[in-house]
Amino acid sequence: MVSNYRIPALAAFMLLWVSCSKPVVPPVPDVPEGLKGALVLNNGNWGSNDAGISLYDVQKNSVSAGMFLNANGMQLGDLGQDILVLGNEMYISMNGSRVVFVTDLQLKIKKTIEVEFGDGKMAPRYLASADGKVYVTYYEGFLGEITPGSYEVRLTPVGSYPEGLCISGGKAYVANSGYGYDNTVSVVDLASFTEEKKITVNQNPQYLVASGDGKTLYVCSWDAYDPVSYEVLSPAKLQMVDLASGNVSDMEAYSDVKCIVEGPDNKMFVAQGGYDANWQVCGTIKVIDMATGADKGLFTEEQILNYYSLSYSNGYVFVGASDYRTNGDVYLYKEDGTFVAKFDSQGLNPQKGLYL
Amino acid sequence: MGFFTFAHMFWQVAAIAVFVPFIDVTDTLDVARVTDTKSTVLKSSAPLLRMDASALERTGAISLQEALRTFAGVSVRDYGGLGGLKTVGIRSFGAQHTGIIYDGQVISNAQNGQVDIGRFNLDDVQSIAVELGGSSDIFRSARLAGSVGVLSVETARPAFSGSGTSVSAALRYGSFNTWNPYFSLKQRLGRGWCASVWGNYVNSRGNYPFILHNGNLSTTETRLHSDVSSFNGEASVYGDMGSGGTLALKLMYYDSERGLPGSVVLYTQNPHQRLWDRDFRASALYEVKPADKWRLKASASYNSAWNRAWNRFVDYAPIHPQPQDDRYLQQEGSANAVALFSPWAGVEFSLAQDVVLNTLQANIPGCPFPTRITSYTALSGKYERGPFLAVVSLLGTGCAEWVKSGEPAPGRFHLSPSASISYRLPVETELRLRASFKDSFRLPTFNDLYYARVGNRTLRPEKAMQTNLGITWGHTFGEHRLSATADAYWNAVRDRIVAVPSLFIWSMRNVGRVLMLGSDLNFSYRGKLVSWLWANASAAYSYQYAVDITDPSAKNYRHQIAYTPRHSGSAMLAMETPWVNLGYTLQAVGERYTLAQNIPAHRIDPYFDHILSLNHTFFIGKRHICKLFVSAEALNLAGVNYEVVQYYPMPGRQYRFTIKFTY
Repeated sequence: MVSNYRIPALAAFMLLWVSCSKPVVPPVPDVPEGLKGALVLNNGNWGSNDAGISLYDVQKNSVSAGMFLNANGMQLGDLGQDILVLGNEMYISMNGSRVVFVTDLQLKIKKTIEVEFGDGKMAPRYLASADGKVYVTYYEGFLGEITPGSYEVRLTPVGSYPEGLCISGGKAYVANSGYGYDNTVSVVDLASFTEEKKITVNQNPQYLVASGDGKTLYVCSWDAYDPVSYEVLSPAKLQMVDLASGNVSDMEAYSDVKCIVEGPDNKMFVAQGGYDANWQVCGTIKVIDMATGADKGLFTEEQILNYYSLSYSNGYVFVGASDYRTNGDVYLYKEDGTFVAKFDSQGLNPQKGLYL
Repeated sequence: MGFFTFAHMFWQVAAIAVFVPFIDVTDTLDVARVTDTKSTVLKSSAPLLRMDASALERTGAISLQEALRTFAGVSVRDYGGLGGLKTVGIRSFGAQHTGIIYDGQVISNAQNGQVDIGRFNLDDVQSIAVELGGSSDIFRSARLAGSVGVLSVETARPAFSGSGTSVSAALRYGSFNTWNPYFSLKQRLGRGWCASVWGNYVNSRGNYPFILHNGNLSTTETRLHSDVSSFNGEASVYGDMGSGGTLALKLMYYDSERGLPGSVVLYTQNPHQRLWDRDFRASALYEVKPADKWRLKASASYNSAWNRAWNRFVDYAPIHPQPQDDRYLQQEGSANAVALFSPWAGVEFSLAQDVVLNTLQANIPGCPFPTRITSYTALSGKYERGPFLAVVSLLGTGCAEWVKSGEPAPGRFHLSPSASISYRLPVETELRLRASFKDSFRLPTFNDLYYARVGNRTLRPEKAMQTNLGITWGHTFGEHRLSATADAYWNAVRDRIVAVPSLFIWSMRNVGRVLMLGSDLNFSYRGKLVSWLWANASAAYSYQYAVDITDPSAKNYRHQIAYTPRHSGSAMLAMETPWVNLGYTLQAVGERYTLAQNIPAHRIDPYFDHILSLNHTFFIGKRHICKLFVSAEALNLAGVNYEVVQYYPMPGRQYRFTIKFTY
């Protein structure tokens, strides 16, 4: 019977059509399943609101751009400076837009943290976390402590234009760059949340890393210039601070230091800058034993053309490259130096990587 | 300011026009005169665009940036609002390659190479013209021969009918609290001598609303800190001493204070940067025919341009001075002479010599107080006979610099040849072919060379090469005039001066090559349709393929350079009747990219800007001794806050009313 045959076919087709037009939405779990892959925060171009978050799928070797925009229907904003994961939340510091976004692990906004200052707002810079709290430096000269849940921000004054920070042994260390004119590291006691003292270091400190045992602080400072002659007043340096004695010593083997980040097993990665034959910026990555300060050699033989940033996350090292004009590139390595992939960051100036 | 007010105003204008008996409705412009001005444009051996006062009036344009919209191959980079910086670029070249000449005096900026054309008002302007490449005019300043193109503005020389005094006063009101009074006085001083004084004041809150798009969100915001207040004034004396020559003396002063709103940054808006300008200029221009075959012209000018940039940083522990309060003083002295010798009819040779002295002083630490002397020598020849017009020119430029601290940039020398030819085809109608070649350059600016840390004293000039092939056509039948031009060009830039990141800071370097292939098309019509209706119509289209060819391995290799639309165009329609003149202008600009790489993230939308203008001139008294001009314009009719520069939204729909009395 033709008709008997037809009706179920039509019904099946209808069902198919219905199910195609209205896909069954899986129930949303209480704790959202996070993004998986190599996540990159692109800093963007100043004043252009073009910061963004891209996700690289290592298996598929493909990059998805605009993850924050997709999750929220709104742009990330201007100058994405730092991103970190704490529990099932992400914190994203937007320097130009002067907000810290708190999102779930799928980048959906849970809270927008803004701190009023004068007739404007404070510009957040770098993030760190310890004991369930998030710490953020503000360009206006403050360290902020964010309590997840209430998202209240407690502030304490540090030095001028603070940049990188690290936390060790109940203390926060903050690099006061002074936009090139300060030369101190603020030591903030986290229990009382007040600055205990300032350690004098090389001019223009940018990044700090403390050793796992809490005995040594490493300070990466950039070139600083004479305000009148614009000659290099003090060149970029890597310094070691013995926190017990307060002694500061230069690690002279490392010139043109661009960045230091804490790695696994009490190791630290150091990015050193240089130029290639065409006077384009290059980067070399080295490994240092944080307990002793001993050089553990090159992380990779490769010289990174247009070196821009260095970050470490969950067993992976991200080296960002940028010419400031076109989309950046990210070189992804395993912590032992094994090359994993090179991919287009789908945005300008890849600033920070997270391996999720 | 709603539509009602505009409609009301229109009704009033229409009512007055109908009920007030008018004495004379004949347009002063006849076809013959149009043919005359148009034929210069058509005959030019390199592309030339021109607009005279009556055409400006028809379109309702009151500023250079509005007038230049209809010029194919000319782009204005506009940061929005009355106070926003406006610079003019020729074809795909940067604004620093454009020469600007105002009443025979070169207006320049040695500090950053950019002249803000927003300061010029058109109340007293006779004509504006843009040369896209070479020029058929060889009797002028040598300095202009080095520019890729020249924008020239000519103000009206006083012309008296009847009494020896002429007075003009105007008041203009526009949306967003914009007031603009203008006053001018022209006085005959005696046989052959006259003087003119004018002043123009603009005050605008500039607090226009705009729609901000952020992902799926659209919010209405107000442009903050976009206020401007400026005064522009001139005093001139003109003398005609018969065989003793002519003399023009001019003093100009410009004073402004404005807020700089900056780009719209998502999630935060708190601009507080301010800028003050005080610009004084004195110039003298003397022209004489000393002998039968000779013409001489000499000029001298002094310019002092002071500006102050104020900004504050919300820094808890300031180390450098707070707030930032930078003062700059640029001074320029220039002298120029040009001699034209015409041994035979149709053959001319000229030798032009300019010497320009520039200094820059600033209160910012480390300013080296540079001084530059530049010498420009141009030797040109022109042949114009029968169907031929040919121009050749060779410019030699040399400069030397001194600084108070550090090393000065080394001296530089550059030779720039140019040649152009126009040939009229032996056919009934005016049909001409033209071809031109031009080598141009721009010297590194003081900022390029000496700006704190970034400047690089070893920079070479940025070089530009232009070749153009074109066809022009004009036709007059009865009281109708049609004309059209079509040009195709091949241009290139090498040794582009750009900021390049180095290890810890950026520095200026000569890197980058750009290839530009393009075409400009212009069409225009003017004619008497019926006894009471004159119609004007024009259309222009530009195609620009301008790509970066610096590095084949770069992600932007052969990508369109930033802020250069591939397609752009304009259309204008004006109807002149005894009762009212109606003008409509459309500007259309295609998609552009804000950065070197042409990817969707950097794309900005195409835009259309529509302008509607209505005006009428009432003649009062015996022999039309008084004139009352009233006009109303609606700008950006569609009301879209399009962006010329990303995140610098343009104002939406605006209205403007002018009443101008002339005696």
